[in-house]
Amino acid sequence: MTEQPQPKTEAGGVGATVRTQQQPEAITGVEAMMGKGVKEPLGFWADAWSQVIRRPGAFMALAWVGIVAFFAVFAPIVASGHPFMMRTIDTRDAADAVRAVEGALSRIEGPNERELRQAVRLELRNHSPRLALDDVLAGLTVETRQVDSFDERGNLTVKQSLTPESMAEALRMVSQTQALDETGGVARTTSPLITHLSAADWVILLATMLGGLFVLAPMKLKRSSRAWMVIAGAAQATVIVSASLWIDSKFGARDAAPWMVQLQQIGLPDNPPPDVWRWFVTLLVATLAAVTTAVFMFVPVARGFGRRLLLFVVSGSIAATAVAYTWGTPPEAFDYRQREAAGQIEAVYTLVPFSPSERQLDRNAGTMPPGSTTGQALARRMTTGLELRGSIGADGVERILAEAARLPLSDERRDELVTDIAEAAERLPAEVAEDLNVAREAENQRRQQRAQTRGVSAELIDETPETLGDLRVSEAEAYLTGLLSDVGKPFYLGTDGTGQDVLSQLLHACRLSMSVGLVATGIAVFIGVTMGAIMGYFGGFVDLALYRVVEIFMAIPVLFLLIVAADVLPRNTYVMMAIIGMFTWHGAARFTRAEFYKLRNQDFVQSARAAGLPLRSVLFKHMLPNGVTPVLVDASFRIALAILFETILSYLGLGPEDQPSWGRLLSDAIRAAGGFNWWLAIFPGFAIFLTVLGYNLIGEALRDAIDPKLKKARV
Amino acid sequence: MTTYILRRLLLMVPTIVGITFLVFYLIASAPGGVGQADMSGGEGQEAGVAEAARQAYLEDKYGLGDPIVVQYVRWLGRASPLKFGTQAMRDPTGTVIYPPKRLAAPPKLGEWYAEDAEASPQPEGEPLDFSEITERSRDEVLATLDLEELIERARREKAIDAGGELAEAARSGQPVDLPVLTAEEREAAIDDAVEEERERSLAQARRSAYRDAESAYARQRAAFVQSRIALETAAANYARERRAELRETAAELTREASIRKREARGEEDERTRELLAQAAAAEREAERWRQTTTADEKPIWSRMDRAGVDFDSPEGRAIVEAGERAYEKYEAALEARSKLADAYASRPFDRVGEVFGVPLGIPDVVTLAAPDLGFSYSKSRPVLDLILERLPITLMLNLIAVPIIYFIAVPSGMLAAVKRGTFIDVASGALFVALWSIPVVWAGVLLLGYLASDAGLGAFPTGGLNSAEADSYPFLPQRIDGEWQHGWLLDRLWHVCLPVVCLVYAGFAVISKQTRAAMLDNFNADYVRTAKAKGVKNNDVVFRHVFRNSLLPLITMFATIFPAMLAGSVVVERIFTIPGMGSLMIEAIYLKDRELLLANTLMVGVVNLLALLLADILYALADPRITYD
Repeated sequence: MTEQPQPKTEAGGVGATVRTQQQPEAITGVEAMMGKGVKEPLGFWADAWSQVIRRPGAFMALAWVGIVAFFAVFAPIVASGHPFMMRTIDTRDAADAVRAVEGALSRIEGPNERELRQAVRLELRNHSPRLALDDVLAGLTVETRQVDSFDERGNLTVKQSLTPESMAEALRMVSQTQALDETGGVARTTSPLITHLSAADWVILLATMLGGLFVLAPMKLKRSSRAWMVIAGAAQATVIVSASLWIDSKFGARDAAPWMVQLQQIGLPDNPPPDVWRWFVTLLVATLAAVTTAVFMFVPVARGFGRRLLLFVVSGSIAATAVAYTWGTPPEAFDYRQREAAGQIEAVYTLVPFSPSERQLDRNAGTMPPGSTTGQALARRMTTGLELRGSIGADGVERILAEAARLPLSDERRDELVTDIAEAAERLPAEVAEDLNVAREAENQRRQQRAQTRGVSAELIDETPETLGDLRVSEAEAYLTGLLSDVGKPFYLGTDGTGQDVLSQLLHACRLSMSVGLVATGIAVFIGVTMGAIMGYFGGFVDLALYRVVEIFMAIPVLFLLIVAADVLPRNTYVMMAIIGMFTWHGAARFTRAEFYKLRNQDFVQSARAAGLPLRSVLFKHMLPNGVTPVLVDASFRIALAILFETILSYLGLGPEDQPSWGRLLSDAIRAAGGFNWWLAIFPGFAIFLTVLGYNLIGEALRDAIDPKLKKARV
Repeated sequence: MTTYILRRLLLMVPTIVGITFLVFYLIASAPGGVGQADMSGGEGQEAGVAEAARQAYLEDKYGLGDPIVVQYVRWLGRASPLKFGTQAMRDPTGTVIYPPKRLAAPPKLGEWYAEDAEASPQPEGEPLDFSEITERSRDEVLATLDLEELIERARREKAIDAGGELAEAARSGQPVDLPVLTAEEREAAIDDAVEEERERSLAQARRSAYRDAESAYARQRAAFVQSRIALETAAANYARERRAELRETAAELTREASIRKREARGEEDERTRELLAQAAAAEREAERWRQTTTADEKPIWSRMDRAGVDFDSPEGRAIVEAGERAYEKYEAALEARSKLADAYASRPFDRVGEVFGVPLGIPDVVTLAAPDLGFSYSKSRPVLDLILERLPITLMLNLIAVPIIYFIAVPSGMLAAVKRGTFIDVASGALFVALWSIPVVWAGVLLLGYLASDAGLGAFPTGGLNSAEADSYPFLPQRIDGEWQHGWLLDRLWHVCLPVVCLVYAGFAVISKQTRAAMLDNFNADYVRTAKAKGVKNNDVVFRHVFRNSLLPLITMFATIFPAMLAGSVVVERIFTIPGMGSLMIEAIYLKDRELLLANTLMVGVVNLLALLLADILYALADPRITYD
């Protein structure tokens, strides 16, 4: 589609060219020789892709894959239970903390400084995790020095140990130094969403945005080589992030070495100093970045040493910063709604205000259909454990009241709710009773009809309900939901078996699907092409021996091997990608082998060998570009297959534990006790289906565009 | 062709070895290893007797103490049809019995039982002496026999030998006048009976000796394992105590040093530095002791030895005691083992690799015998039985599914090829790709949810192969007492309906596309143009020329579709809870049942490789242009 640059001698400039394109007119032979009206032929792949997007099915498939890719990148900031912006408007945190610390200090006897400090930290962490702990601790260090006495010459000495009194005083001073707003409370505006992004989130977000800009920006360097640079940089970042995750798991492990434990405990006063951990992390990620940069310098992207160094230093430092920034983020506590209800914070949420790991309430709210709200979850919490048959009775009402008094709501709202319930326990509001009566009559009619067809007597619900105690559990739940209708946000697509929002899981699972599809296929193609090239080029004994390995994977359904491996190995995304990649490479190997078999006797290969080129060059520079086409055409189907494998493994409960997955959602549709949760079958199922179908359609289109044999047959 | 097939068959061997080793390695490297799923039950400081017995059984059965490769070679030796070395025996229940394995000695620590450290001999065993039975005199044996009955039997035999009417009557056991024996015949009959009795009692003595020795050994081994676990616990205790002690010391020293430091206003004097150094040394020592146990508190003996155990401390004495007890039990177990080896050497049962006593191959060197697939510990049944029970179910599903696929896919592929480029072609292509893209788990869930579950239509069963009361059904549909009884067969079909739909729908796309592509290939061939030019009717061109030649790839597809369907049934059987090969496989994986899993792998692998070979052979047979020379 690019336009041939016009020769300078041509009159008319750009406007004239456009006109000639619109209305083709006769041109002279000279003009034709000068290249007028000639379109530059597209490259091989560009031509194939241009044919692919001309097919409507493939175009729509590409669009869908684009949507999935979008959520794979942006799901953490589109769907999150952490508010995007949060304003803390309460002073109780600080005051509470001071009180708690004073209490703790008074319990400790003896002037043991270390114990005192540890007690303070423990109290602060337990009691008021939301208080800016670091500020307080930093302040504490300073303030304690102030209360320590000075000697005669005015030098700061630590003559006496810290006493409870001095410590509490210091804390009080700290809490007062924090910025107070006009209401007298501590007001801070933070973004929990940003602070809770993981290192992988950061890397993916930055790689997409910066990398996208870099690729799309007009530059002299060819776009494809820039894309390769971005991919290489992203690979380096992935290595750094996964290595840091691994190291972190070693530190968090139960059998971590004592120095690891010691290093992590900021609370040890003497040895090491408090900042050692932070220094250690910084040093560690810096080392990681340096080492990976050194290794990645061998990757043949971006010609030129300096350019390559720049690329990997930039991507390495971005990843290292992201890792260092997010290392040791406190575990997620989704208590924003309670605090919001209690008037402690004001929060602005993202589009889908739930995280996949966010359980609704402390108790299992269970599966709820689409359109339910958090209010319904609260209502369900009040009615759990009630007798299912018959009306709930007076003791049921008591339990509901007891639960209602404990609900995480603001004090006024809770009082209001308790009053409402107490009133309803005396007498239901007239219109509610009327509605329920109508509903019951309809239900009775239905039961009678059903009973008649089966020839048994119908069990009818007794007459008009007048108090809350007359209701059945489901009716009570509906009534309480109505009372709480102003509370909470809707679950647009319902919740799964553990009470987690389905929509946010669907969005977050895009990443697993996308990464498993692409990375697993990448691994498979890499191994397969290498093995196939070696087999096809050498033939003979090498071929015979290596082909046994290929046959191993052909001899047994790959799914078996995957299930065995997934059951044995740790369950995370990285392992999942690795095993799917490592068990599905044989197809690519067979394709490449056949191609190389044909190529190896061709003249250009013979001449390359005769010229004494090294084997690496013959194999991968001369033969590979000519033999890799079938593998790449096939890759699209392989991605679809990898996604299917992931779905099946997750369905069987062998999927990654750290990531939501479409397959796991699907498995809740039937397994959950009692019937069929259609929303857990339809939505994730459709997502998988569309994705797999998309890749298959793209693969078909690509194959039709490239495979000349089929093209001929289509005529 | 024959050489080609032989070559392929030979090449299957390394492939099968490779695949089983891969699975073996994966399962052996599982956290907790073989039988882990089962072991989670009885964990505690004091291993109970049952737990020890179970562990002893597993250890002995699977040789868990040995390196993975040794374990694998042992498994391979059992599974291979060619047996090298001493022949194993097969007891009447069909279980193959092997000579007792070496018993690993309890771990050694320090010098306190160095004299026991030499490897005790664990001999192959000498045949037991049964001379008491073999050398019993004729009269002694005769005393145990019923002479009357013996004579009676001999007379009956004589009558049968004589033939005629009398023989018929004698054979059917009717009371008839049997011929009288001569004195010689009588003596001969008695001799035979005595000889027979001698052999019978000898065999019985051998068997009971073996069974006794076996159970005695199992008991001793369990006791030994229990004492070994106690020894391990004692050692781990020691390490823990020592560690805690050292940590305490280190903390004490540090505290002292910091107090000194504070008193000296932050100055460090000689003594403080010394204290700190001592604390660091204690900390290092504690770390060393921490490393003498694994993460799950199992002692690593060599490290413990190097760290130096103080056997005079209370915990150290506990180790010594436990170790001495373990050695005692070990000796006892060894003694029981040598008895078992003796009993084994006297050949209580028939040897494998023999047909009617004739060995296949060279006895005790190389023999040919049926593969022994082992015994599934989680199901307490021979693996072969399990497979034979489950395989027909999977085969039944696939034999229903495959023809359906062909009956739908081949005509539709033909239609698409004939009407190429039209709406039918495009639509059927799109439809099949769409069907192909439906994940089988989703299809299963939707079918179950909407057609089978109570929340949906409830028209189909939600799982299983038959209704619970199906055993009492007549085979075919019948009218019983005016009530329509749908019978066993219909019940079965009703149950497999949804699973078969799940197996079938994805298969269309491949076959249909293959048919279409092959047909189109042929449409472009010269002979078709010639036929058309000659004025052959269009239908004849399509069915007699093109279709026949397009069948080739479909034949080979038939051989390769079976493995694919086998894989597909893993998921389908799981969703619809059908007890077939697929669910057996998954159960084996979840329970870490090694023998069962390996046998399944072996079987599936052999079937798949044979199917691939069959496809190639069929290809050559169907198309004379193709040869494999």
